[in-house]
Amino acid sequence: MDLTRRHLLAAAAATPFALAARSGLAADPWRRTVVLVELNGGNDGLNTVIPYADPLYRSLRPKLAVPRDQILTLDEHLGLHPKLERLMPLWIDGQMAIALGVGYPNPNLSHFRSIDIWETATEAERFAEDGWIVRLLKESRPAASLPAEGVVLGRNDPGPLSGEGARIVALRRLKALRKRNRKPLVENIGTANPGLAHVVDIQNRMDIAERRLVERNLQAVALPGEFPKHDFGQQMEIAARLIAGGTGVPVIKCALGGFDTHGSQLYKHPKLLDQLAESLGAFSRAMKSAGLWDRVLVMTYAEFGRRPHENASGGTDHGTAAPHFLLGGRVRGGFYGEQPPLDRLQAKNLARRLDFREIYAAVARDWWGLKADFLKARALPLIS
Amino acid sequence: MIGTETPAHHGHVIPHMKHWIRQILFGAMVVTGLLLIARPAPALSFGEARHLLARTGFGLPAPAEISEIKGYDRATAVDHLLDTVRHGPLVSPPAWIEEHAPPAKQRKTWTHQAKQAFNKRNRERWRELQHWWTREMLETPSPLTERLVLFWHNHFTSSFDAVKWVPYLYAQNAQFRRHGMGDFKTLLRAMVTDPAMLFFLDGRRNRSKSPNENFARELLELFTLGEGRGYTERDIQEAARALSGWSVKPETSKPVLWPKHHDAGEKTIFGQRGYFGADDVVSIILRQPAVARHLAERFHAAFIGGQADAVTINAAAAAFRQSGYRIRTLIRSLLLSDAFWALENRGTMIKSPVDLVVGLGRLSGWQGEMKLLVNRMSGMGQKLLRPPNVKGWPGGLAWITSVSLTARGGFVYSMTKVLGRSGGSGGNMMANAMGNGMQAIMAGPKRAPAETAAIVLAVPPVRPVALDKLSPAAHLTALFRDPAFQMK
Repeated sequence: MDLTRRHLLAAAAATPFALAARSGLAADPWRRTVVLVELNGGNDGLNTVIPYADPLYRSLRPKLAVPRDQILTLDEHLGLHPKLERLMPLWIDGQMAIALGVGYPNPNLSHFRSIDIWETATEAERFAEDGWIVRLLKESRPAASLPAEGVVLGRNDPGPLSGEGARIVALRRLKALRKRNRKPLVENIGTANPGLAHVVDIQNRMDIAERRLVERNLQAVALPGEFPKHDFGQQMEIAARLIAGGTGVPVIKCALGGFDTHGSQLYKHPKLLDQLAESLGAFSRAMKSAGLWDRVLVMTYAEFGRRPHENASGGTDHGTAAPHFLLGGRVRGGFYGEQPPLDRLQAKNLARRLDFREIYAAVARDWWGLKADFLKARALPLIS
Repeated sequence: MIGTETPAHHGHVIPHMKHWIRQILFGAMVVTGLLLIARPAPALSFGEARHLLARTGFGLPAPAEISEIKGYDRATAVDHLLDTVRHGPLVSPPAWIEEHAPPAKQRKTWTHQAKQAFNKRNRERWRELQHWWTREMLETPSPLTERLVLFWHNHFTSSFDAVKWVPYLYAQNAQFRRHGMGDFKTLLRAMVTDPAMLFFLDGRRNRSKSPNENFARELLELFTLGEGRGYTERDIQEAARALSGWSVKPETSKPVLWPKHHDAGEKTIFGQRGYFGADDVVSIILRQPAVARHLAERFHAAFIGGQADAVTINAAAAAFRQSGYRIRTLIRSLLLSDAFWALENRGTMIKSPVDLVVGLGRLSGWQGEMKLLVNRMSGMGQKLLRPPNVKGWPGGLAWITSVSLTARGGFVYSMTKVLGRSGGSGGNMMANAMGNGMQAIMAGPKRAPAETAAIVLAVPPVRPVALDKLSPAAHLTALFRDPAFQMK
């Protein structure tokens, strides 16, 4: 997308008063925010939502099985890893959905290919250039007055936000928003040199978005309580500030890395789950106290789950289906799908019970009110 | 206009060179002379010479380097660069690279404090090795050598995240320098049991009774055939069996095969059956035509960029395969392809953080701490010896995000702040650490603004400047800070 005079004019026209902008967006499907949380590396689903009642769980996991007395009971079959305790209040309040056995047909066990499939929402045998959010943006554009259509926090990979034409800002720290005036934007330089056009495009978008975000003074937004100081906690804090600060950014992508636990999982995995739950807990508190919890949907995703059999390195290898979480004031809490049976593995891996596109379809249709025909899936009734 | 200048005067260049370079150059000139009689090949223009050096080096050749090769024709210039590739480092590596890792038994007896001290020292060593490598990139007379080492580091990735014993990372880096322009078979064989690789992709945990497929998968998917190119899950599992039992002997830091953990049974890989081991896996893989193609595509992405055309890839892959996997042959084919020299392909690649930092560092004659440069590279998204994952840095358009572009702008700003001031006084820490390279560009022969732009940039600047209002120093600063400076 070229950012020429038209956008400059739009930028100039954007009112600095958040409330005025918000009321003008009442009919805009993009007024609700989705926070995407990538569990980078492939999370071990069996040690996240644990089928504790199945004796096979313990026999597949002689070293890695979580002791029964530590598991947080969800129902008579399933329980949460103890480090996810901070998510329990949301579960009890019916604001957390757990989608079980999420995957896709003909699973690919390569990190890169599989995350591509998740991020572009194509069949395993087909390729698409654009991320699924960018594909949605092609159906309907958010108001040009929004500072950005998506913000990428943490790891630099835009994932579902990658592709042509989206107005994306990558932020590591709010401090990166600098107040100094930049040089004038460069005019559209054409397409003969796509690399240079990309540099110019990013520079222009960044300049526009930064000018607008600076006006919001996000560092001054008051949030209740503290966010964790680790990288993922800081990402969730920035996400909370972006939302509470009234920026209206419809998609915020966060990432927590390190889930590729081929070894020493007993040491690594609980730390990651702890960081996840601690940060999501702080985020939900902040949103509730700002009265915005009904306008926010948090969803996790990852390239795959991990193999039910633990390996000899105290870890787990690449797997297939896994559980994922959706959190928010309008989420219909409870289980969706069912736990894949441990006695009927497919090529040593868990059999899929839900297609991830059924979750995307719920987000696209019931959260944003879009059609999203390309998903070719029914929408799970996740959202009230 | 620089491109129409007369060929360089060799007599002017040669007296400043080392004796051996002079001899090689003399030989090259004789060969050039003979070739000229047979079939006259035109000498490189300024723009062509700059393009070749920018793409085979760090994106910003110095005027003197450009003059050095400008008189050659394409083949002579390319051969000159390929023939002067080094096989060992110029800068002495840290002394601790000779140390052996404390054995696991010993480490089990350590206190919590001892473990923490060990981890801290490993982190320091990782940084020290980054500094050493960056210094090598700055000082090497053959930038292509280090570009190749970086290419292989990004191909056969290993990261400090998983390889905490830093001497293994050094040893792997040395392998890239030793074999990086040599025989791909030798390099591949070395990587299959390379200590850093055995740690990074869990090869040391791959045992007959509990196979770990991590390395076998990436070996086929990333290192040789390419994703989805004619292998099955079964091939991966069987290759993993054939590669089982390898580990690193801490007392020697060398790979070792433990027979009791090696699966000695019969395997079927790509339809071939046998009692295969590591060497057989390498031989079987190299019989697949997809390997040459995949490597040709990887090098194309590194040196030419953009959409690879079938003619260029087929020619390079065929030459590579017919040569018995000589890496030099593959690179030579690509560097002499029409695609490499095509005008529309020049200035179209985005500089990596290493390009940007080392390029400006070399040009400026950087005198400061390596730490300052390494920190800047990291901030732009490229931590040496710590790629983001096994696939390496994605590169290309992915280098540029709002965060990385801000970091790039900040670096260029710091490095060019000194321009137009007398000496380094009043500049910041970065500016003060610069040698006189920047001033040398300005102090050289008086140039027209377009000539200055042709030295600094691969493509014309995109931000118009009012030249009549700018001093030469301000003009040069504007060129460095133009978005076009991100291109090579």
